[in-house]
Amino acid sequence: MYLHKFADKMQKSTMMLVLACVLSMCLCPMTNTVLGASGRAGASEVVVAQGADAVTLDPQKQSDTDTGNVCNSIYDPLLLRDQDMSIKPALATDWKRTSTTEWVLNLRQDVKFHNGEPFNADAVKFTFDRVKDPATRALIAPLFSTILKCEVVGPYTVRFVTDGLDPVFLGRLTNLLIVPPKYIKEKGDDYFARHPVGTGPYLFVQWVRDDRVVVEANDQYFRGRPAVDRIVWKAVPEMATRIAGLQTGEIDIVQSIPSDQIGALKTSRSVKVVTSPCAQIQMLNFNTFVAPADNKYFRLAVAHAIDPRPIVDGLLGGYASVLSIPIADVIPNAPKSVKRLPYDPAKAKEYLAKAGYPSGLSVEMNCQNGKYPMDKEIAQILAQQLSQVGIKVTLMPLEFGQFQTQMRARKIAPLYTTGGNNVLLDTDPQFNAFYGSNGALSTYSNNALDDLIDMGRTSTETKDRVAVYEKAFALLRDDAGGIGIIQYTLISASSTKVSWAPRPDGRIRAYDIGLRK
Amino acid sequence: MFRYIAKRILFAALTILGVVTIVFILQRTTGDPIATLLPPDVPLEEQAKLRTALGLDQPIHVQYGKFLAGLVRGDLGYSYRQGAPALGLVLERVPSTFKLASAGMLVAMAIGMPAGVLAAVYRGTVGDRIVMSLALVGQAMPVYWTGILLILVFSVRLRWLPAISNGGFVSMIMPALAVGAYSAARIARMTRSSMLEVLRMDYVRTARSKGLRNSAVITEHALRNALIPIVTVLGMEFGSLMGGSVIVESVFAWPGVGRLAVNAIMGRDYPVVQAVVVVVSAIFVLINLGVDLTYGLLDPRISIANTTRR
Repeated sequence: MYLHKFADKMQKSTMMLVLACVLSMCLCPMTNTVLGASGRAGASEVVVAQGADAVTLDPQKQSDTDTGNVCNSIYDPLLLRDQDMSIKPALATDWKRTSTTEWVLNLRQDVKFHNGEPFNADAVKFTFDRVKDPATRALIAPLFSTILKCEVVGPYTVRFVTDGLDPVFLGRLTNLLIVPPKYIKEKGDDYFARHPVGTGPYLFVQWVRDDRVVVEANDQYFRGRPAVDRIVWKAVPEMATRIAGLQTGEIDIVQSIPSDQIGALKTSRSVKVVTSPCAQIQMLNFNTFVAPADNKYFRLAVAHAIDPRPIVDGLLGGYASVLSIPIADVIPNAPKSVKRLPYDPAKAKEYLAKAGYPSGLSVEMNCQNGKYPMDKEIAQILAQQLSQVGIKVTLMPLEFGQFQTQMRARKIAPLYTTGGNNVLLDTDPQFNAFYGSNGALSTYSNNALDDLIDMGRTSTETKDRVAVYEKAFALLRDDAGGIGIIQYTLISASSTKVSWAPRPDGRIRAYDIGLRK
Repeated sequence: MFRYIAKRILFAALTILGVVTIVFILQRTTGDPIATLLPPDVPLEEQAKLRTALGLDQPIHVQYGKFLAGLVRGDLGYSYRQGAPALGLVLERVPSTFKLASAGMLVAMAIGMPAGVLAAVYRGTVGDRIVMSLALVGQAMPVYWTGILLILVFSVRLRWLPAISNGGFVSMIMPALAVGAYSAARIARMTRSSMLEVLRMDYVRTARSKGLRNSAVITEHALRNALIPIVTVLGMEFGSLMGGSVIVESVFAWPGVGRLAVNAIMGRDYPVVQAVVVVVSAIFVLINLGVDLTYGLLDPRISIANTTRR
């Protein structure tokens, strides 16, 4: 009863109070922000929209491209990949291999972290040791698994010791972003991950989780002040919204646009569409540990039954290219001379008969679903092509994590399509992972191929290694161990006020973004 | 009443524990988080090192024991992907989810309740049919489609509103409309049916026979008595929205709990998924408790104190 009387007296005013509270909550700006330096009026600003927010601003605890792009605007690596994917000096001025297992690098002497802390050999050693320390839980640590230690030779000279000859050593160092030792020791890991300090072209300003990271030009940057005053890394999960944002002028750069969604952008006067070949591919692999994929003739039948051209021309609207071998041609040491087995349905039927299936067979096939552009649709087209030679495919798309788990356990279907990328832009890690007998994702085993993989690791000379990989990919093709399908073309769009070009590695380097005059 | 609240909170704690235990076990059956944390071509020994560092190599009962011990201390572990305390990651997104849910509910109530009342009062007329048809369309339209449609019309075509959230009031209008449109349809249907039931009651006829104005009869006698089922629906809708309107948050780039949850599930970030479940369950239970207490305010015949004594 008391409650009722109270309600009668208080109801209207309480309701008004609640309403006012809710409205004030709605009207106030979001408060979950992390603030750094203050903004400046009238400054040039470029908004880069990505599918996901940075997961952390500690560069050693991230492994995804979106976070990597943000971190690379704040930090510098020792070496960097240029637009043509060649390796260039960054914080290291020059480098030399002094023995099979040792590399000596000289460092820049005119660089300071954003907080004034000096950059030197101690910072490099601290960074490397932090990556290797299990307590850091550094997600990039596996990229440095072949490097044993880093030693300080002089104030601006370091020596890296590798576990045997490592032909990918320089590529690995392009992923080592240098962090400030004193700052991290003083502030701790958690604080550092939210208030990053690097030597990079942009200074950290603000991070609103799942919304945006704002960075501002570093006037003291050793490669010269960036062209843009302020960059906003905006997290916009929906591609349709990213495209709408480009059209309305709220966004300046969008990358990885699906080929079926660029129609509206092509007609827009304020947006230009730019493309680049990239390291992302689709391939058709076999689980050779189960029947019928353990049969070479069955695999050869599949290889002759599929034709990637309708995928390139029809499904992807020309924004892809047919792959000869299961590796992208933008990888500097990927062989270019090995050709794919020709599309020949009659030959496919012959091989099928040789395999013991003269009247065809039914087989299961897995594919990814949404991890790579049109991955499921590509698999559907391949399944349809296979059915025309008598291989009736039951297609079973899997969520990415489940797909990876099945593949690693070698419990995946006899046939499967999978996307592939190449973080280190070198043939060895990708080739070994998918086709080496001990590869993390391999469902194929061939001793002769393993020997060639080992041989490819005995030299750092690109020419020598390409010659080895030519033999390796030819062997893989002739044994039908894996089939290249398509190499994606990276489709990006930017506002006409921005001067920027996409890179084959799919990264967005903030320092490369300019403004049109 | 305090005994009642204490009892409800105790049951709520047990419910949350049950829910989080189910989630704890189920998500471990979906696969290995390492597969999504590291690039695919990482050697197996490096994967094993990370698995050990994250404690994923331990038996599931040991992991569960550690999780419970942390839960008691309010420590739900560190995000595998974000390297930050999982509970903090969830809590810092609650205000923006609350803003979107509140704004969506305001829109839903502002549209749904008057529409439902009008449809009930003018039952069987063209107006009633239009309102109910619109409610049906509102419920049938996928929120994703509504959101994209709003963006195309008001951002791309008319350039009135921003397509992407920037945390300000203006950028909240379209997300609130998208969320509110669906809830408004449900509220309108519930309001109509509840009002129709009440309008047939004797006390409404008595009020009318006393010569009261129709508007007074509807607002002070009928609507107030029809509110209980409506408030129940409002509570359920608000609770669901506080769990994160995943689609709207994605379409409008709204930084809320729903997006965090989806990303954590896709990335098998167990600690974050568990933290989301704990926080959202707690919010849902609190909202339900609030709704139950509101019944007493709306209808003096419902006494919580008496209920507990029985």
